[in-house]
Amino acid sequence: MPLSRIRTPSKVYWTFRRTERIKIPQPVERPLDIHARDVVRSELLQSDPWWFIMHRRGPRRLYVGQDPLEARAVPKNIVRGTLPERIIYRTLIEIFHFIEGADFDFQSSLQGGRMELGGIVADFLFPTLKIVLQVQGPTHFEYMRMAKDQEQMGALLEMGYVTYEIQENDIYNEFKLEDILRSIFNLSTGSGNAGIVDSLGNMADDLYAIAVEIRDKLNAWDWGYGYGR
Amino acid sequence: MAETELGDVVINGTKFRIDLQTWKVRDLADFAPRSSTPGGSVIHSDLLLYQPMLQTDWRHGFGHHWYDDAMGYLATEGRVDTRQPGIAMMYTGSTSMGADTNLLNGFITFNSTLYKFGAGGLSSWTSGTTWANLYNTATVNCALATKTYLFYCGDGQRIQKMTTGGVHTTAGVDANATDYRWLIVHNGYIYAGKDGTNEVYYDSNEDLSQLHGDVAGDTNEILVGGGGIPTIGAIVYASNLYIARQDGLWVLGEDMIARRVLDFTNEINSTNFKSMCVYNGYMIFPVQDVLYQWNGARLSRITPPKVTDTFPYTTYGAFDNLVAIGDFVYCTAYTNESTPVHSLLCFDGTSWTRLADLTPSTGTTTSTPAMGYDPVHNYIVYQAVGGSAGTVYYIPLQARSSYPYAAFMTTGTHSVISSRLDMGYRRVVKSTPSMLVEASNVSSTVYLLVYYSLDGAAWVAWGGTDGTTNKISSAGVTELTNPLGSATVPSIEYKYLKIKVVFVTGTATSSPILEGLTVRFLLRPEVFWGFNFTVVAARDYDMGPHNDNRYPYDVISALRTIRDSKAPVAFIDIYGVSYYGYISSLNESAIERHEYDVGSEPNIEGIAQVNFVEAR
Repeated sequence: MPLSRIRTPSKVYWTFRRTERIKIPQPVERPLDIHARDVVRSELLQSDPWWFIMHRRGPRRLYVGQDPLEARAVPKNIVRGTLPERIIYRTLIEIFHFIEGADFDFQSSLQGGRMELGGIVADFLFPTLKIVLQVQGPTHFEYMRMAKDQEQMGALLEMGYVTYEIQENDIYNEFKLEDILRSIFNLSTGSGNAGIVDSLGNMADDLYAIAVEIRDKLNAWDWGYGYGR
Repeated sequence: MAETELGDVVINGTKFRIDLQTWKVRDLADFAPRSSTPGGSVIHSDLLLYQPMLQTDWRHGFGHHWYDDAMGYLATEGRVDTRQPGIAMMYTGSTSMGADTNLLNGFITFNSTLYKFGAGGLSSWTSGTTWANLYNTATVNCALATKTYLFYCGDGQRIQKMTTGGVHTTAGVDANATDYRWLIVHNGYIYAGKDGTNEVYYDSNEDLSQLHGDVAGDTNEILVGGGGIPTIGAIVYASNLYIARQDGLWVLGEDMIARRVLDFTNEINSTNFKSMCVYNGYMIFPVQDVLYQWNGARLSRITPPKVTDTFPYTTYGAFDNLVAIGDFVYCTAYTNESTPVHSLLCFDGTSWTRLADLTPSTGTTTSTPAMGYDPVHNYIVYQAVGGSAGTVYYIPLQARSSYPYAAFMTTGTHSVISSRLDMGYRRVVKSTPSMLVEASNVSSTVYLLVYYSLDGAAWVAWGGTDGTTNKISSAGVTELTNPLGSATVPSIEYKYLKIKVVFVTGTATSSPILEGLTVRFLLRPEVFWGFNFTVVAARDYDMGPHNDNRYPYDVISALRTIRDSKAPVAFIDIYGVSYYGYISSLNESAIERHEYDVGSEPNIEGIAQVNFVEAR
């Protein structure tokens, strides 16, 4: 007896697949956590006597002064955030003349996410310019993190915000950060112009004229099924 | 020498006998600590004894008193452009467009021709020729160009219009259409501010044939604020028309009512809103000697910083002639000195560059009444007036580039002066044997000269022979050594150092390019000493003919008291050299009890190891 086909009951309907926000799992704790330093019996180590100088490395010289990166950052006790976030904060205020609260709103990634943006982490939010600056840390290139960032950028884009991701290493490079921020905020990057007077100045007009010509030709084309009518 | 009858050393006035075998002295200051400085990247280190401190970018402009910004510097002289990433170079020179002592109110282009207007009326300029006067009945307050007409307003006179064919006729509805201070196009109308009043008239006709000029003829005039303070200008920003008076800024609504949005009543001044421009989404304007940028919601100050590092400090004020061209905002300003210097300043959204000092053909500048942009020729045009002399100049801009046009000055001094380089430690002396200069486009006639100033002293040519030992005429990296030019002293010592690099060219089309400065230095802190010795605490200790009959505890007790001293105590070492400092460590050891001695105190002979630290 031939097998009869089992049909889908009419009361069963296909539905769209339910989508869920990506959740970044917490890091897995290692079952045994031994700090290498703990197994060193430091009391058995002898420090150099005061008269000893290792000539191959030159005279012993202390490193003094503030960390150059911290010197570019807002102090921790003023703005709570990671070092790259605090560097950008100070750069925006001191060099780019922005004012927090008026021009941008800062919330450190350490604080979770924004209530008004559905929990999205948007480090520097420029509501008037509709710009978000995201500081990307060392975990940015992990697969889950990249997917999460992509999801957040999409969500912000739906809200009208363009997200610029700035890598941590780029922030530590003073000159590179300068160029990145100048590009974002439409300031001189050394490749602009001091005044436009030449044929290139008419390029936009030429492109527009070409676009109009193409549009007119498409409209005039008899597609046979009414396209362009 | 110490008084040695009862001891080898003297601490706080008390003499102590020490075991000479235990005497040790050590310098406690680090020989040459490595300091962290902004911009001092380890990748530029030559891994030698000296540390490099380098500057390879000057984009953060002038006004950095101390080296706190890797891209900042103190000031420039003459014509220097530091706006480009990674380089500093000369800025374009000015070319005369003819003498004019009549104070101008501005420049305008119409029908591919440049016009100037002001006390001399209205004149047109054609390249290669002189100015042609077109109207001289009165001072022209303002002008406005549309595609069809050039409108211009003589002071107290009826508004005029000129066609592209050069035909001049009157505009306005009647004989009362006179004496306008400013004209602007906005939202389908041309608005005209009546000179000396707060009245604004408007007309939608292309030829301004219905523009009124008195309240009786036009009941639809706009009154901007009250109090009889006249309007001085208007600007279109973010789709709104803003009208300025000396006491604030008004926005004109769709209902043709002007409402105040910025109030500077308590700072009313003739320099307020003297000029306005829109740059990168902001409106920029001066209020007294402060320059603001406004985004429609909040004000932030962008006033240039000071340009000197000694009192009385030189600052810029009286900002005028704001013009946004390409990537930059240009303006004129002059200094607070007794003989002010008028300069062309440039703002790139972050910082200020002084591109040029604007001087007339003779004398010093007393006024730079007008500056504008000529898009026909791609020029910055300005007038510089000094006493009885006045000249209109242009500075060409380079097409398709933000770099300066290659028409540099072969005379004058053009230099960039670094911030005070203190390496982060102002009070520590540094030593510098050499510095590295990175340059390009240099030759025997196009070159750089390097000078230094130690702790604010006069400029000295590096190497001692100006034009020879401080000359950079080879492209690439040049190490300048022997800063004093001395056969015996190979370095300079200072607490802070300033470097001046002068740009010299004998070819107007070529500028030397400065790409980097690296100062090699050692921090050399003052040395201070630590002493380690063992004091002998024993009674009846013979010292030559002398006998120390102090009980051991008297010695120990004296040392304990000194150890507890909050103030530094005097110390004379075994060679009789005096110091001030503290006993930082005291370790006592008992050696032997002398039972036969039954004095007032137990006679327990002992020693005390003393660490004495010089306090500096």
